[in-house]
Amino acid sequence: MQDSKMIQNVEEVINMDVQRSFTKIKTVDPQILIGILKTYALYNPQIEYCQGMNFVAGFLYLIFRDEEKSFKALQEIIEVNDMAEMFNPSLPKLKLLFYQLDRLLNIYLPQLHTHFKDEMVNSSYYSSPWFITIFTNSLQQQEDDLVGDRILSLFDYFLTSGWKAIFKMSLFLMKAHEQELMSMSFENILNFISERPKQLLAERDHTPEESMHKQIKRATKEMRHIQFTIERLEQEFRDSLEASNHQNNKKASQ
Amino acid sequence: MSKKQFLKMVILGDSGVGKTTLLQQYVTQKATGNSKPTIGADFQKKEVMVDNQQVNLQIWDTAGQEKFQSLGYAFYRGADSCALVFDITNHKSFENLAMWKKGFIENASPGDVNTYPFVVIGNKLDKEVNRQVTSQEARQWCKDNGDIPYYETSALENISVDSAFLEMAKTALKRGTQNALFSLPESIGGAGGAIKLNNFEDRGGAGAKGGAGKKKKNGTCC
Repeated sequence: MQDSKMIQNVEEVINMDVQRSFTKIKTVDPQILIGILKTYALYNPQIEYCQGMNFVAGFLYLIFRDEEKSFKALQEIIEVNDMAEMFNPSLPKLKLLFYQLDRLLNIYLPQLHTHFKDEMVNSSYYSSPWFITIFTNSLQQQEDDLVGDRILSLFDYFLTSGWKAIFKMSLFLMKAHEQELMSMSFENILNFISERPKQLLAERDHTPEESMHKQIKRATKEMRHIQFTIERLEQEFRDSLEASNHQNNKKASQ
Repeated sequence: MSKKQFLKMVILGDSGVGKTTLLQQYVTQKATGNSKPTIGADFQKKEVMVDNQQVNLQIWDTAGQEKFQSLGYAFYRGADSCALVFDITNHKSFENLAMWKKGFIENASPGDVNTYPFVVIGNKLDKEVNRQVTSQEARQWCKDNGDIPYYETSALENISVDSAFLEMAKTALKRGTQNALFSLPESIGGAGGAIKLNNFEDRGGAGAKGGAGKKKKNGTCC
């Protein structure tokens, strides 16, 4: 009983999200996307469905044009990148990614980080869609069914390099607009950084002399040891979680 | 010079009840009715006059899926008013108001809960024929929950949207904003140069402290 009720609830959300996600792209049959996401919800009851997966599934379908292949790709991507931890009910991986992004800004773009801190902007205010949809929510801007070069290139980079690609994309964006962001206040910062990547990725490179991936690499060339830093930050996050849990337990037992 | 007031508001409720459309209608007087699912949270701002006073509203639109509530602390904190939204054609969304209210109280630490400026909004009045929640039932719930004001709106057809938000602003102002009466500067242009680079490592991380609304402005000029 519990199971069927659960599935029914998640089905409603999936139906609703799919029908309002790709309204402009006529060749994406909502029933197929619903099929992919529902299958995933049944396949992985721990996650079921998380808002944002609709964009990833839609992106994959636009590439493969095949329900089964898209499902398998979704399954694989979630598995390889530990995304189950991001989509599960308390979103633990998402909190880790927020932490890592904040600290990466702190390390590689310290002036901007200080400004953000002054303005009380932290990564959890703007980066949820970056991580949850791997920037594929930029597709909502587009009106036809040709996936743009930039998002394709970024997604390829993600497939080969994992979260490092998303962090580098984030740093690339911040660095490219550092001067503008430095002069903005809280509200403008958030508006700007939530809109800018969508515009950028939806634009077409008519003369793609340099792919998105290469642009990112070039812009972040001087940011040394990013992969190592990301790993170190994960440990740092876990240690501080453990320490605060320990503190709480101590308080509770007193 | 009269001080500009600043209010932070949040809109909560199940997925698909029309939170984004309500906000879109209120802020831009336009609503397309096919807004995308909100991931994480978004906000809009609007300047309004309330009782001859200029007020800057910062209204946060949150994701409707329950699992995003665990990010709630970051968005709820410092909110001066909270709209609990349901869809009158979806009874479950009405039943879930209690869950949303509880989650808000737990995360936002809003002080005295009994006087906190909640507003309940029953949306999708344009789909009256499919109504599953009667006005009476909704009003009763509001009454049982500390006399919360109740509005029935159509975000699509712009029915009562303004009044609902205005009510939120008025009651919030009456109660006194949680955000101290800073006069907000129009812009802090140039502040970048004024920032002392205190570059010790911040280990606070995402959402460690402080809410969006609690803006500490060192640079308020007088």
